[in-house]
Amino acid sequence: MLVERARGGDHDAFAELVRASVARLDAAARLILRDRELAADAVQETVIRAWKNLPGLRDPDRFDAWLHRLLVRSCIDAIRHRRARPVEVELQPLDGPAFTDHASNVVDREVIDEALRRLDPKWRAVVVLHFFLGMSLPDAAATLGIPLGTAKSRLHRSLGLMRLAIGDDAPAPLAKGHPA
Amino acid sequence: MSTDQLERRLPEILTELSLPRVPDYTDDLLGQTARMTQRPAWTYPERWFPVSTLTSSLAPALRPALRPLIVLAVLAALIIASLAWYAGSQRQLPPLFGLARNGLVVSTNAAGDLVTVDPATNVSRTLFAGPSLCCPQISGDGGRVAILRVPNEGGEPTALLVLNIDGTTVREIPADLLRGLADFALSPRGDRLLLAIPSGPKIVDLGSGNVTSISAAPDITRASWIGPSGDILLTARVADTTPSGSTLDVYRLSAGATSGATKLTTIQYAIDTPQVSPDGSKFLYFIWGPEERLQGRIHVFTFATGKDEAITPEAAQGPVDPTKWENPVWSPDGSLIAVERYATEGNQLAILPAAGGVPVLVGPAFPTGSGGAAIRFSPDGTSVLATYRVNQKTWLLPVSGDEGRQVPWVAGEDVDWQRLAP
Repeated sequence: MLVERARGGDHDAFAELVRASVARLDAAARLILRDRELAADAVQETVIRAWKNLPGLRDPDRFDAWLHRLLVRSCIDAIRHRRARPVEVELQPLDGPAFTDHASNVVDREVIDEALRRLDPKWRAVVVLHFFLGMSLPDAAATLGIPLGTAKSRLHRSLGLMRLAIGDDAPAPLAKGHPA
Repeated sequence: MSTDQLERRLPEILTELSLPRVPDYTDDLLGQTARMTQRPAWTYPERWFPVSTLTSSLAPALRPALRPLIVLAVLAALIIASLAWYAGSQRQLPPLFGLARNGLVVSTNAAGDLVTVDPATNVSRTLFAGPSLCCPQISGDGGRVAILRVPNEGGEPTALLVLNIDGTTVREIPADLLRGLADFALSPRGDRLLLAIPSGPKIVDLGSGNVTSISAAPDITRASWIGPSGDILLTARVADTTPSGSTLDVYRLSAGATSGATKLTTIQYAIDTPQVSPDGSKFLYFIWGPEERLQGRIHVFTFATGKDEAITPEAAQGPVDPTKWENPVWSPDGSLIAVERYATEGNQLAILPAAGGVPVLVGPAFPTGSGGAAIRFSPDGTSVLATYRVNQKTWLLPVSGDEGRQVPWVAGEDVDWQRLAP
C-alpha cells in the first residue's frame, strides 16, 4: 500500500518506506564500499533514483529487491568513479562493540572484517547481498547483472579467501576452539 | 571455523560489523527528494507491458536462442546511439555567449580532484583525478575544461591541463611556459589558451601546440578574450593606490596581432582586474578609493563608446550612500551583474541590472568580514550558485529573488558551469 501511494507521488509514504530501509541500505553500502562517505553518497543516489523512478516500478511487492538493485548499482558507480583514488578504510563501530559475546566472537569478527576488507568490492557485493541482505544467489546475480555462474564463483572464492584468512591469521584460541 | 560455521555466522558477523542504524543524513535526503518531481509513469513501457512477467515466464531452454538476438539488438542500439551522439555533438553546440542550457558544475574537491556535479540530481563524478588541481575554466561551447596543477598553495603551477569534458586530455602545458603566470583564459571555442604572464602574454594554439608571444606593456596582470571576436583585453598594473587597489592601464589587441595594442583607458582604485562581458561589448570592475563615495562602487566600460559609468551610487556631492558593492560577476547574456552588497541593514548578495537600476536581494545574509561568497551564474541566467565563505555552504539562488535552496555539495571558490545547447 505504501509503495503504491509513493508510486503515485505521495512523498510521505515514500519517506516512511525510506526510513524503514535506510539503515540496512547504509549498512550494506558501508560493507560493500568500506568507506562511510562513499557509502552515504551511494545511499543518497539510491534514494534519489528510487523517488524519481518509482512510477516505473510495476510490481510493488518487488520494492525491496528493486531498491537493493539500485543500491548495488550506485555502489558499483561509486567504485568506478573512485578507481583512480581507491579508498579502503577500516569499518569502525559507531557506538563501540554491539555485543558482549565471549572473546572468540570478537576475534572471529575482526578476522572476518580483515578478510572482507581484502576482497575485491564486486566480490564483497555478492557476499553482502547473499549473507547480509538475505538474497538468494539467483536474485543476487540478477541484481548485480552477472550470470548466476559468476555469482556462484565469486561467492565460492570469497568464502575460500575468508577461510584462508581465518586459517592463516586466526590466533590460537580460535583455531583450537573452531577446527577448520 | 568450518565452512558450515563460517556461512552460518556470516549474516550475524556482517550485522555486527556494520551496525545498521538510521543515518543522520536521512532527513536532509528526504528533504531533497521532496523537492524533486518523479518521472511520469507513462514514460515507462514496463508499466504498460508485462516485460518482467514475459521474460520470467520464458522457458529456460528458449533463453539461449534469444541471446544472439539480444546481442544484435544491443549492437544495433549502440550503433544508433553512436550515430545520434555523433550527429548531436556535431550540431548541438551552445552559442558562445548568451543564455544556454545548464550542464554540469565543474569544481575541485578537497583532495584536489576535478569533479563534476549534476545540479539536477546532485550526482557527483570525478572527471580527472588530482591531486593539486585548481581553478577550472570551461570553454564557452561547453566542450573543454582547462585546469591548473598547483602542488604548493600559492606556488607556481607545474602544469596547465586542457581536457575534453569527458576527462580525456587534449594538451598539457608544461611548467616552463607558465613561469610567473598571473591568470589564464580558455578561448570561447576552447581551441586556444591565453596566458597572462607579467613579462609577456602568450597564446597557445591547442591544436598545433604553437606558442605565440605578445609584445605588450610591462606587468600584465590579466589577459582576457573579448567575447568570441578573437580580440584580447590586456590589463597592466601601473601603481598601487591608497588605501587599496591599483591604477591599471587597459589595452585592446586586435585578433591575430602580436603587438600594437591600443590603450583604452586608465582606471583608478581598481580592486579586481576588469571582467569582460560574455558578448565582448563591455567590461566591469569595482573600486575602493580614499573617499567613502568611491568605496565599493561598480563601474562598466563600454567598448563601442569608450564610456566608463558607475552603475552604483557615486555622488559627486551631497550625502554619500554608505552601501558597498563588491566582487561583481556577469550573467551569461550580460544583462545582469551578481554582487556582494554590504549595507547598514545587513549584507546580502544582490542582482543588479547591468545598465543600473534597482537591485534584487538574494540568499541568506552574511556577516561583514566573512568574505561574502564565491558566485557563478547558471548558463540559463535564472540563478546563481553561491558558496558562502562564512560556512562553506553552497546555495542555488533564483535571480528573481524567490527562495533559493542549499545544495548538498560544496561548489567552492573555483567553479564553472558547463553551457549546453538550448
